[in-house]
Amino acid sequence: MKKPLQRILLVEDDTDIQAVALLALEAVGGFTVGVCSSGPEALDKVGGFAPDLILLDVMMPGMDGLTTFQALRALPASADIPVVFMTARVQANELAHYKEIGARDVISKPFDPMTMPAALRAIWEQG
Amino acid sequence: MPKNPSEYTEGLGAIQEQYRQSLPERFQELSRVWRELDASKWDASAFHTFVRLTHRLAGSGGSYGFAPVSEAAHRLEVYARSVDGAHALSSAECAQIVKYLKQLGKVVNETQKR
Repeated sequence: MKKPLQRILLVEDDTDIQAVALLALEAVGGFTVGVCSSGPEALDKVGGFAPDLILLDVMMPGMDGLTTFQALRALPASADIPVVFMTARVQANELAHYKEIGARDVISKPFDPMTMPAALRAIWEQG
Repeated sequence: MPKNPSEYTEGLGAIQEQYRQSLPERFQELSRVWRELDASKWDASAFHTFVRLTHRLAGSGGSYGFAPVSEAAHRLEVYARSVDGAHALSSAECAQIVKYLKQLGKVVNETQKR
């Protein structure tokens, strides 16, 4: 039986999204959450935090989500950790692309803080 | 059902109120960036900032319970991304952006009515 989803690393530069996502993941989902504001911070933190899943914003300044994803894949500590992208208004063709490059799934923004944790749990269970 | 219902309700209420109160300032910043874009001395970087600010509003509004803000900001973002921001926009393009900005301003004002 697969272990339950417990630890999530949130990688998001927008502090508004950070705040509502953290509330959703902790108070609604009961997860333990690590927060990073950038791709480089995520690469630095992922080994020590050891998440079960990484929730990764696509549009970030500097190192964007896709570049961060590739870098996470290249790190032994994070190569096999499932990544769920978070992006605004994802289209069907974008979803297919993200999955083709190895993402587990995509969450659209804006998200409903009440249902986002359950969506992540469902994605985790399907893996 | 949230794992910690009271924590969620109180927490969400608090950050929703902060976000609501911040909306006029966010809109004013967006409007200011737009106003400062000068056709005679076009700043593509400033237009990129304008697009980024609309993107942030579009992505966050709905998550805080202000779906009309997300919708209006998204319409503006989609249009702004459809034009060539590397060069000064045409009068028609500017007029369309102003139209979308006004729509966004209207929904922001609605959030302040209590």
